[in-house]
Amino acid sequence: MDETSKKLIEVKDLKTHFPIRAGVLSRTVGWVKAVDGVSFSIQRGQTLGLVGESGCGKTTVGRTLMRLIRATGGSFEFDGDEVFSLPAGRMKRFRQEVQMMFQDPFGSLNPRMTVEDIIGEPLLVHRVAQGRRRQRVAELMEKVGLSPQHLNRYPHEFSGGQRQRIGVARALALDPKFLICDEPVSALDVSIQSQIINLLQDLQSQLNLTYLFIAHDLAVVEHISDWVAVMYLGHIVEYANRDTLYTNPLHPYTVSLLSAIPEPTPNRQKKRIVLKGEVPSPSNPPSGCPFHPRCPLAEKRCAEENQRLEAKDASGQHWAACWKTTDEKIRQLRSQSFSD
Amino acid sequence: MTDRTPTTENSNEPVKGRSLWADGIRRLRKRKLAMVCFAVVMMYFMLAGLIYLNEVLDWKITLFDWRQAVGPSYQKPWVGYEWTPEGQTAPQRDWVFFGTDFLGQSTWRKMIYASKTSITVALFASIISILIGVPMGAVAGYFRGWVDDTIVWLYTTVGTIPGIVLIMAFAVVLRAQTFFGAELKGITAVYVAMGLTSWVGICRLIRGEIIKRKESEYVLAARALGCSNRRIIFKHLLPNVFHVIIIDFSLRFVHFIHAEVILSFLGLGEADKPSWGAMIDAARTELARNVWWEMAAATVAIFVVSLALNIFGDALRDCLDPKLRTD
Repeated sequence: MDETSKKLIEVKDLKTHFPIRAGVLSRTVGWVKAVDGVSFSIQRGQTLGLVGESGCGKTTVGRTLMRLIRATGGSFEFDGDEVFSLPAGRMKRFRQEVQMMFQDPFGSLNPRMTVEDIIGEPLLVHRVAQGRRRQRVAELMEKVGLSPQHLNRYPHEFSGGQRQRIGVARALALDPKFLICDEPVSALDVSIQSQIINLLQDLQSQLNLTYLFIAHDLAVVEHISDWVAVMYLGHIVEYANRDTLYTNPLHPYTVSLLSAIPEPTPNRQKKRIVLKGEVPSPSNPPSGCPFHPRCPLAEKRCAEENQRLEAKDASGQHWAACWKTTDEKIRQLRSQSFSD
Repeated sequence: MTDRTPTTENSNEPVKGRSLWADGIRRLRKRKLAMVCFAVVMMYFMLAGLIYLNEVLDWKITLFDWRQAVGPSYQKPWVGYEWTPEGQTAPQRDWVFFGTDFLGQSTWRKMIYASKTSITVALFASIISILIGVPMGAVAGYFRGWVDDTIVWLYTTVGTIPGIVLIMAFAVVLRAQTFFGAELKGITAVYVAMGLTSWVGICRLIRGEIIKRKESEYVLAARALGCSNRRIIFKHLLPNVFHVIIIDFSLRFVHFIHAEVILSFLGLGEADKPSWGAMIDAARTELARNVWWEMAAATVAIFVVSLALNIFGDALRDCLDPKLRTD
């Protein structure tokens, strides 16, 4: 990783645990460790893709960083400030500089508000562009490819892709530095997905935005990200720059995920690694490495201790949480599923 | 290529949007039965309003003058009779629509006048219960925690007492009180009592709706933008549960009309002005003498307004709830 001054985001050992309450007195009988020790950093103007299957805690990471959910532990440094202990006054500035995009284009816009009110709301709340709000909203709509003629329309009068553009416009209203995109395209058709992704990329280069891009679609993440973090059961199991991760995955979970990407050429034979069983419950995670009950390479040691995320190459571009990354077996696994 | 809506004209005039409200009302207007029922309900409201104006502005409309005797006691409907009105010497022939009561007053006029009593009670009781129930439900659902526990405890406690008993107790107590200088008497005590005891249903309903919507993405989005709690409740949550309030209002209205009838029947309602409950109360002794028309008049009036309100309320729910949208 490069010099610290270029880092906009630095997350260290982030933990978000939810209590499980039961009984008449609502005693806490256990914890769901949705996010359990996640660390990463993002440089200014870059994109970190955060992938993992449903329920692995990626959305919780996004919401915790937005301070929509209280973090149980860890730190989040944004532009040099520790966010989790920001006083209320500074919090307002944080809310301007960090914005969020949501997954559901139908649920993330208030159905009773017009587009003008929705996109203009951040301006209103933060008292920006007073007196020329309508003009600013029209500019934003044009920027995201919507016609400003539709200012007075309601969300239900738009298609899914258009609604997501409204979401982008709302997120951009305050000229943020950092955008958390929580599965912004997974609810859209493939053709619309590419439009939204291209839009996000164009905006990134125009406005020097930094993205945390949460998704479960590996192809989408490969397209947009500079760095990729793979999550499993609240942990990051592999963290590398994009090209390294996609060509040379080290963690068996990443290898099996990548082997599941459908191949566009029908004749090419590739062996898919089908994982057995279900993702374990985060309220009762397995001992040792969280992936060991499903790992094709697991051995006794994996059930006993968890390997922390550590650098696997000299330049510090590739991190993985597995003992066996240098093992012959992972190479075999990789060659099985990536054979040409 | 793009998913931009093709626009027919190139002018930069903003296109007018259609809100969910406008949508719902458009759907409602397509339902003939619901619109007929709405007209019936409006007729009752207009009658109540006219009676009120007649009293305030002293228009002396004969139809609303229920005090005047129009014949001897217990005259049958539509049957002619001869009688001598007070202050006159010569007897005259007359007939009266819907007959007369013990005092010779027109049952028809009493029935019409009683709609003012009922509508006033139901309207104010609804407003009071909404003013109490909605804010409490919203606060409980939004903040949860000890606020929620307290409010839930309060409404479960109030809710366990049988409604009519509680209303009677309140009505009796309130009758003797003065409130902000005004004496609570007659129907005022009735609707204040009903409002103070009937907020439980709407409070519970709103609390549930708010809990359901609080975790929705548009509320999260508002929080992520830095909206205050007040703004989230008033701009994002309440407009989205407002249709629930309207629907509940329309169905609750019937309940209040019935409650007023029961209280008047029990002698706790309006003492010196006609009400449907008092008419039914009077009919208890009259029915033995084969005088059925006072009972019939009150029953028909209650039946028509209840039926119309129920059908209209159901149609409102079908049309205003975005989840039940069919077209």
